[in-house]
Amino acid sequence: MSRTCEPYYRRKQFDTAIARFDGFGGVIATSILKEEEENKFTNALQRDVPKDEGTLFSVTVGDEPFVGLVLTGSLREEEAYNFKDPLTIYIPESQRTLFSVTIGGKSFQILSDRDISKERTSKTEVPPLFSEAVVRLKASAKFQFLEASRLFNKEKIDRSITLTEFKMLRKKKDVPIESYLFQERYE
Amino acid sequence: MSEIAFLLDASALARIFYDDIGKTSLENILNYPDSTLYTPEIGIIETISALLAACNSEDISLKEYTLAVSTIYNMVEKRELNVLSLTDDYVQDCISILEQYKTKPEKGFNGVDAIYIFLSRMIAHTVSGANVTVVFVTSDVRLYNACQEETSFKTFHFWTCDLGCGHIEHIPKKFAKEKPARYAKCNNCGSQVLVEEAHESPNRCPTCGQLCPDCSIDVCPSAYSIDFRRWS
Repeated sequence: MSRTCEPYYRRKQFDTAIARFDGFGGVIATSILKEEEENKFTNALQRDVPKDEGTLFSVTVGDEPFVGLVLTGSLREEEAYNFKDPLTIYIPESQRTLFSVTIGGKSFQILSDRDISKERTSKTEVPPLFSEAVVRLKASAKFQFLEASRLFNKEKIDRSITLTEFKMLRKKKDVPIESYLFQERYE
Repeated sequence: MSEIAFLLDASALARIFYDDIGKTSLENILNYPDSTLYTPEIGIIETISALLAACNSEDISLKEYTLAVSTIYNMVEKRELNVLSLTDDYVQDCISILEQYKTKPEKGFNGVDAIYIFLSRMIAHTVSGANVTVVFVTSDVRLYNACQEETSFKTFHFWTCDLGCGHIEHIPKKFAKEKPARYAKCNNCGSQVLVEEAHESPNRCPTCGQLCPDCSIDVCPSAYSIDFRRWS
């Protein structure tokens, strides 16, 4: 089965999205579903997958089903800023980390940069939960966002402390911490 | 207004725990709403190393060290700080950066610096075309100076101050003191001989002469505030 997305590639607005169309399905953006219904995005369907693989969505493009990386028009319809923090899920077969968001308990995946920009400017008073930079970095697959549990030994960690609390608990306010660092870098 | 992606090196990351000059700028960066914070893996390693060095010198206790590590953990878990690892090979690229900067002796440059520059370049390249500005934040003046040649991202030295007079944006030389000339008596003829030239403090405003002889947070008169509009 061919996995080309040629008809859409010709459309300029999909350039960024299609650029990420490499090996694991499609990358399709929000308003596209709305605006382009006649263009074969019939619907976004949830597909059952094993729990540890996360929840994927499939979409039909023409006669071809694509799995994953679909975000529907609901992004704009729902309050964009009610989204919970973006989630990262792991796709075993492609060994890639993908990006998703949670809307009302459902996971939706990657959105186009175009749509993020629109959401970001639609309510300037409310800081957006989406970071365009994070989305782009994740979608590029050039970076891994390391989990805290991979960096530190969890057992020794106080999971409740914040930076503000640390500053209240520290004994000295001013420790020449950079001096220690520069000694190691340069001396 | 564009989003700002701040990449912190270890000098900035370690400094969020303890106060010193530039504290306000760093806090403003941490609290700037339309932004995300990043550091590479090496930023974490260097920060832990600096905290442990402070432990060894008994500046902080082991318990306090553990709390600092926990704070980083929680920041990473809450995505307040993103720790990035590059998936592609980057040694060759870092060697190129070293060859670009290390060959200029006046720059002062090391291997870790190359990683920070490469990561900044990579982030900037990846978000290019988006409404995002990449700003590398450091207090390492040698690294900062090298970054001045970089065009794909901005660099900010978080010690930047206004010397209290507000005439200039100044990066203070923290340990540079103003010293008067030193003379000694000649053993042969008894005349006064100049032994050491006077050192004028670099922390002096060229416009009004305002001087910060002791660059320390306790006496810092700076009211410098970052104008984030320059990046957004």
